[in-house]
Amino acid sequence: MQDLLIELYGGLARDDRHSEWRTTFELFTRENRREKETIDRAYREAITDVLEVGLSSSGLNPMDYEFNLELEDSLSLSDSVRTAFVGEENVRRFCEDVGKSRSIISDISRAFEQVAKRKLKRRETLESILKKTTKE
Amino acid sequence: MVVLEEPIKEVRTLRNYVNGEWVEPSYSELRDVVNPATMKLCAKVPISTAGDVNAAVEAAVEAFPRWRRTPPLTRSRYFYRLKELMEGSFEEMSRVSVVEHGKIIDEARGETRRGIENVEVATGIPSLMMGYNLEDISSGIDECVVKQPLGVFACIAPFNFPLMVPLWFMPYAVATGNTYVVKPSPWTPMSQTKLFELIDEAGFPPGVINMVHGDAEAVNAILKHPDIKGISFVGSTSIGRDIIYREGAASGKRVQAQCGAKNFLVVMPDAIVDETVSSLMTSFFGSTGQRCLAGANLVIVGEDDSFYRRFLNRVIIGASNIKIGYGLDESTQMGPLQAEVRKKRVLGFIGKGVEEGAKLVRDGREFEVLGGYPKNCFIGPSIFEGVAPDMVVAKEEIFGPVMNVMRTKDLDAAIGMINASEYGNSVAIFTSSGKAARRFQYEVTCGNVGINVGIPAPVAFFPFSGMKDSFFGDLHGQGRDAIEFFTERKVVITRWF
Repeated sequence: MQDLLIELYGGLARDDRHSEWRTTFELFTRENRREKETIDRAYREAITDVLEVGLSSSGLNPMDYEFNLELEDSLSLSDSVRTAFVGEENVRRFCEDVGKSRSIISDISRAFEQVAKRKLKRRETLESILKKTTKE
Repeated sequence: MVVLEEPIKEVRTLRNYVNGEWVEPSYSELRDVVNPATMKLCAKVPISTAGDVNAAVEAAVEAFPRWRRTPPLTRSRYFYRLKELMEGSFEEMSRVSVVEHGKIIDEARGETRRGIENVEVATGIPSLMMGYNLEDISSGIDECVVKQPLGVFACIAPFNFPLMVPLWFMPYAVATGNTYVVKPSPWTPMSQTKLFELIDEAGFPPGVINMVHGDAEAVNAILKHPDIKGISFVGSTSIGRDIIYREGAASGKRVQAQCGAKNFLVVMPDAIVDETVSSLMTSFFGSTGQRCLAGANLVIVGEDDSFYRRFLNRVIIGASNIKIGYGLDESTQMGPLQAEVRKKRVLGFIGKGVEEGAKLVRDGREFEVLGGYPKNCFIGPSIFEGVAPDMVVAKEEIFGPVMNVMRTKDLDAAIGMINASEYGNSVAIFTSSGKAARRFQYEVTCGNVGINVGIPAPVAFFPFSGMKDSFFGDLHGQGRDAIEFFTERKVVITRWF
């Protein structure tokens, strides 16, 4: 899901039609990569505990959170931002639900909680971009 | 079925790493390193001669005086760099381990993590190797203990955790000021080769850490070399006890030999069944049974036939659901054995168990492999019921996915059986009773004890224990034991006129 969003923001950053937002979308790309790295790192640090201690958990169903991003070059900026909004909300919901889960070990749920909080801030930023671009 | 990208793009002939350089050894032969899941050639490993070992030790001897004078804080900073490099190559190193060993990707990632943890602990050496002192042991006279490095140490590594095991020893040895020679297993040499690429990149001074690929000749050269102060070994009891410990100690070397195992897992009638069965699957069949902490004998305690039958059925169902395949396929739950010769050995034990009269309730000789890979090294989980303690399958280390199920009427009898075993590597009890758990932990003659933990693997800041025929020496790998093993206490008494 993060990879799809990274691709979307990367495309928007490169699109000359929205050059005034280039820095913003480049920042989003970097932040999404860092968020992905946060989760990867938590996984790599916890995997041994899971295997050796035999922790079992009733996980979430990722299919409940998946989304498709149609990355069309012809989309307007506001439509692209709406698309990103949907994607970010799905990721935020997933991370929030994992963060709340008591059955998943605390290092992992904490990492997802962190990402969920950042996605809340991202939602606010996307909403303000949408307001500005819709006026335009 | 998602198969991750292969980490090995071409077949290379591996080289030794001596004095900060990659060198072609004067090898006696080149052996194939084969991916046991695909049966494809991954690399060729040189079987070095005694001369190659001598060259590595010479480089380590030469590097020692200057390294020993390097402040501990500076030494630890190399390990900070190594840790970051290992994190950056985490996935690649893990996949290399899958390809040469056969374990599944999550097991390999777990191994990589445990290896890194030892590097992390070694960065604490400035505090960890402090001595102690007292003023005025007599009026105006002070006494202190300092811990000093000794010189060159060596590690003879096993095939089953090719990345992790040398890291139980090397970081502590080197961070405390010694220099080092690693001899990886010739079966699984690529993981250490990858690690040494990172060691090279971290910029350790030449000669401080060296690697020599090889087999018996290299081992003998290490055992006999007068400049090697100590040896760390992980492998079979017969080699560890009769060759490494005996000959190493006879030539005045410090030795720590972590050897074979036959681990008992005891299930009490008040065990929490779901979590217990899940733990048992990982313990008995994880890494295809090729770990010294693997469960071997399952002891179900009590006279309740209905509990016994229900529990055993859950175990059989769990084992039957294990998906067997290539470790780079993320849906796989159990990979192949590391080599055909190991499979032949395991098959021999299964045949022996049947011959001895144990009931084979799950026959691992019949299995399917996801993805249609060649079956040469694959085998399924096997479960024997009605195993008696004096059967060969109950006493000898199989090193494969074979579970022997036994019953005892009470905890007394289970503890008696465990303590009668020649081995004392690891043991576990599954119970809700603190009283039973405490008694168990107190009385068993085993080094690594799990209470509701199926694989009681000590983390890096604890010693990897072991007793009886599972360990020879006085000090174990990892943690404070490792620091004591790699240093000598020098007592200084001072008076100033």
